Amino acid sequence: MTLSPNWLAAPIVIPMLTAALSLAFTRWNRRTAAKRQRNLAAIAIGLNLLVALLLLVYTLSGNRLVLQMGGWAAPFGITVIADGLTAILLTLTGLVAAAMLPFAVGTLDQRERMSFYPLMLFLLMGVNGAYLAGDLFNLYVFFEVLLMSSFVLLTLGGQAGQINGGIRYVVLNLVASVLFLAAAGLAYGALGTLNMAHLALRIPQAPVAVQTLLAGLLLIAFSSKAALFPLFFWLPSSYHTPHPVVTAFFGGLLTKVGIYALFRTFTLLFPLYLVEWQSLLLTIAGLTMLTGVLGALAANTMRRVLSFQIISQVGYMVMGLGLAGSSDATLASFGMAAGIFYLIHHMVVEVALLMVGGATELEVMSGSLLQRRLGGLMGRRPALAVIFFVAAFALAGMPPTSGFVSKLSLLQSALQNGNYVIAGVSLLVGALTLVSMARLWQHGFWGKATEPIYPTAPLSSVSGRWLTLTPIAALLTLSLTIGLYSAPFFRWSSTAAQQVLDREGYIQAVAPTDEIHFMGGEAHD
Amino acid sequence: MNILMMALVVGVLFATGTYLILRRRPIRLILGLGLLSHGVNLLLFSLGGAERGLPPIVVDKAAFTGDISGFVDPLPQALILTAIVIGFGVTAFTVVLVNRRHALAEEAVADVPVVASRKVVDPFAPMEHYSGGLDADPDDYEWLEYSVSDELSRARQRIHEHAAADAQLDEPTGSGKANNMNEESD
Amino acid sequence: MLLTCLALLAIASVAIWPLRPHRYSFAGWLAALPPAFITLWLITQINGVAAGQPLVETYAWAADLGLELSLRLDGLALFFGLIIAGIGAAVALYTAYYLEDDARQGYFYTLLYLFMASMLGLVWADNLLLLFIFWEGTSFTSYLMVGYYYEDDAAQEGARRALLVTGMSGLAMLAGLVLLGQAVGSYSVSQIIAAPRADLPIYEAALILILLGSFAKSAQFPFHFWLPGAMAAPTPASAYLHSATMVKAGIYLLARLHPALSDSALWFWALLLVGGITFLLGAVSALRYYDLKQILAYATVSQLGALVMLLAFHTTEAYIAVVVGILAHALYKGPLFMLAGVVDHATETRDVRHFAGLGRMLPAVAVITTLAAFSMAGFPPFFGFLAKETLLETLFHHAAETGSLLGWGFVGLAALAGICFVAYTLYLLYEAFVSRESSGFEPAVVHHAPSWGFLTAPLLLTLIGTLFPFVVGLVEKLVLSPPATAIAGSAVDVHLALWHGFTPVFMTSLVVIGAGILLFLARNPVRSLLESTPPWLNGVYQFNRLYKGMFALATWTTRQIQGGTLASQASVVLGVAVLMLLYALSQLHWATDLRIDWGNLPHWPELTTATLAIIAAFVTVRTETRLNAIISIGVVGVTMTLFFVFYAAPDLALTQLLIEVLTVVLLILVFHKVPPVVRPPLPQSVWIRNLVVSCAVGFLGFMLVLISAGAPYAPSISPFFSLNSVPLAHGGNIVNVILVDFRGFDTLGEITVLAIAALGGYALLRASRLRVTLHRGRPDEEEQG
Repeated sequence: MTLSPNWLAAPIVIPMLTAALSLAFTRWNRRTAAKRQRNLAAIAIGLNLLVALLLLVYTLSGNRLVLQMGGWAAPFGITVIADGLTAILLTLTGLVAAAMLPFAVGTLDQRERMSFYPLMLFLLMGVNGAYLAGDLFNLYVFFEVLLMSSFVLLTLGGQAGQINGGIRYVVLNLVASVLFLAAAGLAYGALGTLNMAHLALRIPQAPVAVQTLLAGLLLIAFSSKAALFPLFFWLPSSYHTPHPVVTAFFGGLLTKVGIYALFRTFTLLFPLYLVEWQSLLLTIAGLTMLTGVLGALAANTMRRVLSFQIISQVGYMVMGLGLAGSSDATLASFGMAAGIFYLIHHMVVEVALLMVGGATELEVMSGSLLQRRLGGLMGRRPALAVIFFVAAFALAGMPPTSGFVSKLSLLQSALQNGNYVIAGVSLLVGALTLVSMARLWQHGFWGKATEPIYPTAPLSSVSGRWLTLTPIAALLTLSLTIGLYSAPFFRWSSTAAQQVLDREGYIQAVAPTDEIHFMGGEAHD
Repeated sequence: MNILMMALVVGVLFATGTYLILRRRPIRLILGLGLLSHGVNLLLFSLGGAERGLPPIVVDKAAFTGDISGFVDPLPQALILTAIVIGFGVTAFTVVLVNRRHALAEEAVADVPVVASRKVVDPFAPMEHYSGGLDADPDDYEWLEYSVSDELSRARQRIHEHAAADAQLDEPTGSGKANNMNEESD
Repeated sequence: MLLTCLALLAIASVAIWPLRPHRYSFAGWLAALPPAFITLWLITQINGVAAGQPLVETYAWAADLGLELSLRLDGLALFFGLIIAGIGAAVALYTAYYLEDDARQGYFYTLLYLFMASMLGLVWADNLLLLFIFWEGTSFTSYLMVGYYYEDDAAQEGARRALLVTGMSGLAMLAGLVLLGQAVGSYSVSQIIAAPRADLPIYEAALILILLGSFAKSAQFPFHFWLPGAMAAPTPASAYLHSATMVKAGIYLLARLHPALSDSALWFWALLLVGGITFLLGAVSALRYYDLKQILAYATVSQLGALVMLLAFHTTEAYIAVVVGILAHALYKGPLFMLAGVVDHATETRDVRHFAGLGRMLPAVAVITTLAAFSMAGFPPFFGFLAKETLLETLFHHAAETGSLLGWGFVGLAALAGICFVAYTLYLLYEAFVSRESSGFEPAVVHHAPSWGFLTAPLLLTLIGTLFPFVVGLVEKLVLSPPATAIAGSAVDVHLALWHGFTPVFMTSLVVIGAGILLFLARNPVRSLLESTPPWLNGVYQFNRLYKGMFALATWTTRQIQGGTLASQASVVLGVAVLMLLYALSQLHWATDLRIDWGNLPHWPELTTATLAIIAAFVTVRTETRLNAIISIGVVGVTMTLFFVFYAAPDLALTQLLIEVLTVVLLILVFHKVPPVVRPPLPQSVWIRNLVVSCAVGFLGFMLVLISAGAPYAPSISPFFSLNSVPLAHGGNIVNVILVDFRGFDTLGEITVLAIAALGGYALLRASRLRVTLHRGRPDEEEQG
């Protein structure tokens, strides 16, 4: 099977053009505008998902797809490249967006009319672009696209909490962006190129100190985006402030871009550092998991708990990356596969949980676990209760959801590697996650009902119920599918992991050249 | 030595930018971010070697034979251009953000007797309600609480009006969501 | 067929909730059908399995992870399966009466079936990981069942405790199982138990972790406290999960892995001591309580301890004792719980002090209860007597063999526990059915007498239990030998008889019964002694302290990490970057790695510009007025422009100038009206921190330029653009060609960023107009409370 590389542009171009189109043809703050934007977004998200699936099918048979933008050979132009990991992430992103759309329609207030859908598409474009980028500076640009759109989405509505959270978010992320830009500069300054495959070829030529500095700066920049210890401050400061739809969207997409960037750079550019810094990465992973879950225990509103849980869960994926630093190739590949498998599980479940958590908050218009406005929802909203239970305990690793198999794979990998400490930490964090999820569940759904359900709650109408709950149920079905039918999913993860770890293959696919010729003779006619 | 000079300027820009960010004053924050991005732009610019030379422009295209000696490195310039524009976008948005913050602070001051302009709110303490201006603490998160208090009290009233309050818990009370949101709330 | 059974239950669980069974009077009989069917099918399998031909079903799942859907019906699995399905059928029937007219009955049945499927899967699984999956399944369904009365705080707390203790220890067990499976090279249970595994290097670690999980699940000391808390569950759940089946999962796992893991001193002492302590502790504690279910719960704890203790041994007697103990316990404790539920249902209390002369009001209940309770007390010729005999025989045998004082000590311990058993059984029966006065409490009234349907399930089980000792000779080869064989790992032949003659064991039994009667008479002083134990001895007390402590720790940590100001958080991020730099610098060869052309001296215009930039930057920091700060940052921008001019970047200079003007205008326009805020000066420490961080970041920038701006270590790709922008892209301005052609994709992103910023700015500026609907009101006082 061959596939035209031009398909690679689609996940970036489709959302961008649709967003631009929907901005151009609608007027601000009109209800009809929202409707039209919503329809356009639905088309774009559907197309995007189809393309992503196409790429998934293509890459999971072991292929890479490379597009040299504008036809300029690497490393001179910009390379866009998809391998298994990229395609998996593109597909999941597409799925999340597809699930988010009906949920947004069902739950959004009039923020829907403030260009929510175009912004969502811009964010999608940024995320997709970051996954596809094969060029360090291009990666920076797409990081900025997704950051900028997330800034705007975060503050959409302009409430006090949003502004305050937003300022932290903006500042801390800009600091990370500055470090990233400096790292890109260092890469070009020291190695004379920005193409990642080309950088991977040339990196041994730089002195150790420069390599360390480059690896370190990228580690810090990406860790900050991925919300790793101790750089995650921006996330718990801001994620609970916007509308629940936005929180859910962010929770599914944003940190994963940082994780992806870490996976990619450390396997491609710094394979030696992956081994050398294994204990550092595992320490970071462990501390991220622990501080995240402790934050989740300390937090007192539903979405705060869930935001901290994102951090804790991200730690598990970094654990997979750390385990990929094993000197044994099979074990390394297994660790990476476990990390990717966890990533798949997490994107599905975390989004579902944030969605159902948001829907729960909207029922009583409060997420507070102390004021006890939540409570007793089990009797009043049984469907919501079942969905919440499955989502919450999927996050905590309850079999037969994907949570169990993904945690199991990481545990097996860690024990096989002899990394007993991180294995123990991951189990401890799993147990604490159970505590925090049981706490949320009992506060939200057990106990006596003290408050009336909020009159405009999304679940009060039949259409609202369908729009809100169906996408969550679909995501959870996927999670159960992954859990019950894990063999193919893990095999795909393994394929992706092998591709990610195969630097030579990546470099060959991009084929950067060192030769620079003056093309005056033949082309200038 | 040129590089040393550039490095010094970049260092100073980084240091002053950071200092301003750490000042916790919103407008200085923007200025600090501005200095920081100036710094990183200059960093990128010095990659070209920071030497005088010819601008990378071929004046006579027809006569160009591949002689590029004397041209300075064009790639960092292109990168910086991109970075400058992106930086401007971010700065402009941050300006609006801080402006919105001021507007809210004014409202808050007008609404509420200033309790304390500078209290450190413990984000994990039991439900501290927002009071006294936006500089008080960055972590107020109960927009839900604010936006719903009116609606909730109305919902409660409605429920109290009906005698069988308990029976009503199961019933969806409100009409359509959109309608309700558009109602004027005193 | 094994999988079909599980699927049948899964389907039934999904189907029954929407059917709303509480509306039908015959629901219980229907609900009992699936488990009854499974029981019957299992009975047909007895012959084959007893002949040593286990039923095996294997389906692929995830081979990479060692997961396999393999089920295996051997003697032990069949034995447990019969108990689970058989008692399950009885409980399903009983539930309909217990929860009659309860709208949530369907929900309970859903959980019941799910639990039953998990439990059957657990005992049938032939893969350690599969076993664990079902293990967790029982934990979660048990959690939901205990929390069935979710409005009730006690139910919530009991559920949480049960989940946390069993769920968390289950995770430890998972680590043990994975270690074991990896060391053996297979997760297949039948392969693992094919040989003793005590010589594996990870044996101790794996064993401790597995024991942790099993002990917690089977309510062994010090985890025993969750079981009495779980009594907040509806009584059918207590009867089923918390006496007959789920709490035996730990016993099952120990019995299952007995052939592989038991061959070590660690196993022997851990099981003997923990089991022994639990045995005695549960028996003694049961004397203290008034609540029927609490008494029964502690009796269960004690019985589980006895079973764990028995599994420490390697003798045939022990294997027989375990099997008999499990069956006897299931057959008397299940009905006893059900009957407690019947009494509760009839009188609306479970406190024995309220009962007065219930025997006359509920004669049938009294008779059945007496039969089951005599079995619990171990009176001959009931089934419990057989269990106690085999237990004592094992201990006697061991004591006689080793001749150690400790061996006899355990005989004494078992006797002591037996005495307590007798005492509280008598107490329970006396207070409930015989005594005429309600000891100063309001006497309980029978509100509605139980129907016969309600009593069917306990009656059936009690009858089986009562008849069993008399027919034991007929069925022991089929029912008792196969599980004992599985535990032993080699063939065990079970011979049981009620009458052995006047052996020491029988004499001990008689002494125990006599002493038990004495203890029953002296119950009040004993109770007050027990009640005077300090509260910190209570497991719940310690658990709650631990639980609260965990939250306190979490809050403290999180406050330290996340509670800081924006400035401190930014300091951390930047500080980490600086540390990173310092680490890199430690690897730097200063002489060779900095390839800087020191010879080329800057011209004076550049020097002046640099000086100006530095001065302006400092003015921005130092100035107090906002306008000055904005203007001086404008000056910095102009110096940037000048640099661009000097170093041959005309496009950059133009853009920079334009943007700088725009920024300054924007800043002044937006902020000129905002009144200045007077603030107290920063504390000294914060000021110093800011200074240190700023200088460090300045150093970072400085070093970054020095390191990156030297000549590259590999040739730059840049000449390509200079060379080819005219021939290939037909543009003379190389920078522009790069922007729009070679790297046009970047520019696309850049424009998008600008567009989004504009969109966002507009949205925020318009946000104030939406105040009507997104109204920020002050929360009224009532809500703050």
